[in-house]
Amino acid sequence: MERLRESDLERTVLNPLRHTTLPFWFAIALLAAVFAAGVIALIRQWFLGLGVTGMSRPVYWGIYITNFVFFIGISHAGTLISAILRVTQAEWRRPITRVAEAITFFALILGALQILIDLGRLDRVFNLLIYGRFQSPLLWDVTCISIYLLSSTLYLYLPMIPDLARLRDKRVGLSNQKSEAGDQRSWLRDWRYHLYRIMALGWHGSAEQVRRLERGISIMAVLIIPIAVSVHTVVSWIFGMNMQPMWHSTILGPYFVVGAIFSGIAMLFCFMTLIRKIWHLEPWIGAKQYDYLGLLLLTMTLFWGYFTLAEYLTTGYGTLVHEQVVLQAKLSAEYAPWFYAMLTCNFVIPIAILVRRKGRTPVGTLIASLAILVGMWIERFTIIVPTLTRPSLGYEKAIYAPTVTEVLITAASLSLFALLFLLFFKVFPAISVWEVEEGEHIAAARLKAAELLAQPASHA
Amino acid sequence: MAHWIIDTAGVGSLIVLLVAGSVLIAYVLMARWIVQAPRDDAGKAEFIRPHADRGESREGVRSS
Repeated sequence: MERLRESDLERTVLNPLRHTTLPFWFAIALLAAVFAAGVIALIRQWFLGLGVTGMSRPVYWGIYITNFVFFIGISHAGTLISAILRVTQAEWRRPITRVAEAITFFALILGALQILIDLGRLDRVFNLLIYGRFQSPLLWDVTCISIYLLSSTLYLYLPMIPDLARLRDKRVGLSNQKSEAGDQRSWLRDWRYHLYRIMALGWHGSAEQVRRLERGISIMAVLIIPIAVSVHTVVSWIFGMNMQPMWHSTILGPYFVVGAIFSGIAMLFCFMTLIRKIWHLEPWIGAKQYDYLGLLLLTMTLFWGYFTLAEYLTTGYGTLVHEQVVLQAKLSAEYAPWFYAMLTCNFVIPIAILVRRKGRTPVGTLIASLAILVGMWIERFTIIVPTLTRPSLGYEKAIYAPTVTEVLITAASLSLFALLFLLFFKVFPAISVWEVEEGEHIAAARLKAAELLAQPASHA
Repeated sequence: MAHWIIDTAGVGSLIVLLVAGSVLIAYVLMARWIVQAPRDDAGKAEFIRPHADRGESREGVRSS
């Protein structure tokens, strides 16, 4: 029976895999309904063409590309937070790395989907394979995002292997005995057992295997940081390499990277708080995570403010005619409400909340994060659309207004993101059990060593 | 030469496929290297040995 006794951590983390509550099904149904509505809108768009959207010459990019940049930005959550904190051996990151890595994986998929949606005709994607020229920043983007998706997949999967083996072995352990929690054999259905068995890849946990796994994870953590930076830099160059007013700027690369980390941390806070609440993970995702990550978010708020000031001050001081027209559109014309809402959401609200330690709580950081996510979406929108409504070429000022089709598809994308996330953590543990246990062991060993050192020498 | 690589239609796609393909193969080989680690006779640790080659504590709780 000793073998089957579960720790509190195991029992709590595996509980969502064993039991499904009514509110969970309700949430899934709601998200699926929104997703279905978006799929219908998308099918309609495929048959009727992009004329059902608000896009037209010269505003050939609208909220689909805004969504693309937004999701790619969020994807920096797992990579940069999990990877950087792993490389710097920040022990407090252990309970939240899997959530961060899952956010990266699903955000990348959703980001890539936005491009397919924006194409209008899906068969045009084959043109990329047949006619792709490396002169185009779009192809640089495809290269970087492909590598990032492959890397993120591996970086999510490798640390899952020991936990998958644990789940696989629980089925074996339960074959003739009851678990401490009662007869739980029925919860581990055959398809899940086979899934865990296959994905565990025959993991046996020998010392050499553990050493190789940790080496592999360390290599990926170091590799994925420059890959993540390159991705969002190249995404920014889709705009930066264009000779459009307020796009052709050298600061766009670092600005996008900072914005990506900013929105990534905010999204991590949202999902972290959600699963902490619904799956009772309070003992492992606690004050330390909220305080330290909150300070990181505050730092990124200040960085974002600095880059925004640098961008707009430079443009305003430069007095280039085409750029002044776009700048005025954002500061005092029809895009002014969007611009000031962006400043409020990305700067005023987060600083007001996060600068005080009392604000760096689950509720405070959730409010700040939601504001940041809204603000960052608006930031992408105000980068893309005002410039296109006032291009350098001799067009009259254009108007862009998203249609119901675009709004439904955007809502469906966000729903799909949440849906995939919730379903993923219905099948796989939300916390990396082995990593948290490893951290507890390291902490205990250090405490013991400190106690031994503190003892006075007692030689005769 | 560089101009031809950058400007010719289709060559860019080939570059993307080669780069992505190489990365995929590298990652598969890494996973294979981890999975094919030899078993040892010491048995399976209940949780993973922490930092076995970094001089930290080697204590581990083993399953019976």
